[in-house]
Amino acid sequence: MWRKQPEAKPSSPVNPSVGDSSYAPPAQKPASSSAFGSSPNAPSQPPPAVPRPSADAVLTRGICIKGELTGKADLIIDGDLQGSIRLNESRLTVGQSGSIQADIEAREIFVYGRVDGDLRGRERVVLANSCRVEGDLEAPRVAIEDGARFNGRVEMGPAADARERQGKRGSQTFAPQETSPAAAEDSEVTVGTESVRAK
Amino acid sequence: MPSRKSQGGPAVAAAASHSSPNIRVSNGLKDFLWLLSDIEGGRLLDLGSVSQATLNFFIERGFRVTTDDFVRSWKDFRAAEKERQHIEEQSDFYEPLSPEQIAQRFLDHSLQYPEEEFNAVLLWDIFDHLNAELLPKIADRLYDIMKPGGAVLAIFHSKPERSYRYRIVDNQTIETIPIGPVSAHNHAFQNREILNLFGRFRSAKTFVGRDQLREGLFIR
Repeated sequence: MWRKQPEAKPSSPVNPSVGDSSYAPPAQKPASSSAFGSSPNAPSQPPPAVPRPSADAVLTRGICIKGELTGKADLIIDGDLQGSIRLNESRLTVGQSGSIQADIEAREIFVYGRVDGDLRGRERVVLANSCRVEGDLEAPRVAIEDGARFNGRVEMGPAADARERQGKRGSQTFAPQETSPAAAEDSEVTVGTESVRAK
Repeated sequence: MPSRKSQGGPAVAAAASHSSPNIRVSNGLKDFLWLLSDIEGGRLLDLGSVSQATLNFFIERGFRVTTDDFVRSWKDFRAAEKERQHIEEQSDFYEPLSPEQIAQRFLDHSLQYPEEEFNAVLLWDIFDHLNAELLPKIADRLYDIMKPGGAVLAIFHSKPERSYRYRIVDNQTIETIPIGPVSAHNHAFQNREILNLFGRFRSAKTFVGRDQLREGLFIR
């Protein structure tokens, strides 16, 4: 009944300080469905510290750019940017002090800071617990750390994946499972103004 | 005859085997999901803190999910309002806004979704954290943005002392994750208050668990 989500793995080499080790699950956590190692059945743990990522280029704190940003190099933004960002072959990291007012398209997008705009990741989008994102999010794989602040719509997977998921819906249903008698007996159910004991 | 313990479903077994004390079987969630079981390509609005597990749960079932971290947006708005008020107090023409006006200002920019957009709303316990003036307006707005037959799942604490983050573990289990003390709590809701708030909805049903956590299921 439960299809276990494959563990999120980068399809291309990723800087280990950004892609994996920085979000490596704590030792006590089991393998899981997300890049953060949090699984639906796993208890919540404090998020691991996020070390500083590295990249080909860095837009440092205090720098402000207005306009369109394109390129093929991996980029870290710790400054401010307004406009648009297209790094279709590269990884974009928005650092903790980074502030973006732009729609972003990149191969991979890691957000530790603030983004006002839509995020479209060709491979994946990762939201760290320090981030704040106001915008829609679209990527084949999405990883969101507990505590991340995100307001927007989520589209995971391309259209074909969505159709495939629709087709597989029979095995991923909302059908209620058998109820624990103990749980049911302890519930008082109120419908409208009437209150009855659940059987 | 099997023992009572052995009669629990997989979710119960998972919960029972879990060391976390914050896992709870949720009759409200079970009914909520049952109401959504026939919907293909539905739309869900999650008004709590974003959770990867909850996102995956619904997306894997063909839902399109929108998250709107409502309580944190309200706190930000209140902080900005205080700052604005502090500046305007210097003016001779300053007139303080009433709580109702403040609530309306916030809602002028919140929950701005098309009418009949969503099949389901996860309200979680956000009513425990908001000012009383906001609540009927939010309930009304939810009614407007939901499709007929849509369902709202809400949680009300009998002793609201902490803030929680929620995530769906499986079809009938929720994990409640304490994340800190409550900064501004109003009061514990009585059943009558809850039903009045959602008076426009076609059906209202509440469940009170052993832990005195009240779950509400409201159908538009």
